[in-house]
Amino acid sequence: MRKHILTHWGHLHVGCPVCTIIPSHMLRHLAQHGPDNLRERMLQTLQHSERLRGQRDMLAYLGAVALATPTGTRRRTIYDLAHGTRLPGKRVRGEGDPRSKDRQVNEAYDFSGATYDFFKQVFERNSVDGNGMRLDSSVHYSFDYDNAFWNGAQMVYGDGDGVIFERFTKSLEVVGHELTHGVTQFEAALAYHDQPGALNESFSDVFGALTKQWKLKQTADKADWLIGAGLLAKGVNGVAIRSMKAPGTAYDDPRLGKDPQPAQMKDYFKGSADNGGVHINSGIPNHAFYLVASTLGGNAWDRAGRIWYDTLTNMIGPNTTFKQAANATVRSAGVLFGSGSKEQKAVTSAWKQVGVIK
Amino acid sequence: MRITLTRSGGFAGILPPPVTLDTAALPRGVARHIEELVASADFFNLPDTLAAPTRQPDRLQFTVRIVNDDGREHTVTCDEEVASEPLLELVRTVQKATRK
Repeated sequence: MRKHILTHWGHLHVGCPVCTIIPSHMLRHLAQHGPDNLRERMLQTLQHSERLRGQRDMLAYLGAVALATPTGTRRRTIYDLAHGTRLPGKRVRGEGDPRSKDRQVNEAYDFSGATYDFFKQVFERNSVDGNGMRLDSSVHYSFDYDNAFWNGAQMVYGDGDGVIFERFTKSLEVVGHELTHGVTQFEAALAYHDQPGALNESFSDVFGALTKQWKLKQTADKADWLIGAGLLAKGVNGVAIRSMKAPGTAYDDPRLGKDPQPAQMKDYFKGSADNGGVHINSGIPNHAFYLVASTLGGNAWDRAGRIWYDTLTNMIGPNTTFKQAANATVRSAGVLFGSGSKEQKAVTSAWKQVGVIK
Repeated sequence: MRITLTRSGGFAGILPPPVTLDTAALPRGVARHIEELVASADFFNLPDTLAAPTRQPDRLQFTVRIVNDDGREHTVTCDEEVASEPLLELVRTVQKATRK
């Protein structure tokens, strides 16, 4: 319980600042008895203000309230851009609405729901911001658009050109990847270039892959560890966009080139393209995560995922390098599972294998 | 008019080989559309770099190099977030015309 509360601290800075003028006894009452939509905010504000005052004994109390307080619900909305680019587009499906006839709309709805559920049930995180933020997705962006992105407030998906790429809503891990960019934005806020950018990308791949594994109830040894499986159109020589298990092997096609991801620091991409190789060098931390998960076995989200989540939410910041992130995961593994635990040893060994630490 | 397009970034983070086209070899309608887009994007007066103040995750970046028949040439590297609509449409049109 204590641990649960602690893991929530990373996002408290996004709480409502105005709420801090409300006396804490009132907040406490609202947190316990207020309307659903207010309760969680009050609880978080309470945690925030109590932390500021350094009242440690309040933590246990707040922990109990957190358990007793039903936390947030999913609030998904899907918009159809009909090939335009002006966001968000026309609202076509809201939370609880019946299925659409449009496949992209349903995929964006179902997969953002699965991602919400994953973060909620595994890490007790209430949405992207930890505070029940709405999940907005726009589909059919532009024409033949070979991409998906997070614009800082919502997800956006292209249909793909149909020749090289299929629609970007097709893979659950792609949706999980985009939403995790939101989580990162509210937590470590990793800068989007060079090593912090590659870490930003890697956290999105890690939690995208974990969302899929959790949804499919796959243990680490049963998972494919692919990112964007099924995204490449028929006739393209490849299985996915990236492979965490074997970076650099996802595709090799004359029109796409060869998967450029390294698995090792010695093959680090030093070019300026792709914001200093954020989608390229992410292969290195991706592979480190895979090594930890496969060494530990079982469900990757239980231990490896827990360490990575704690690192993202509590241990690192905007300019964190690979080496700093590696050391942070080692520290986190020690805090969560004990110094010298097999979890911590697996983490240290993984980063050594990819050449980030010695 | 010869146009070379290089893309990078995006969710896929791919670095596909650059594509080149010559408007002289295109159907008349497509060539004219491209010429109009180059004009309305005011391409030859754009700065060399159009960079977004902060990059949005998974957005694309592209470099467009155009050599006019009169020998004039210009290269622009642009983050998708800050590209004008004619420039984006130019990129889409070149991509489509060069797709195999």
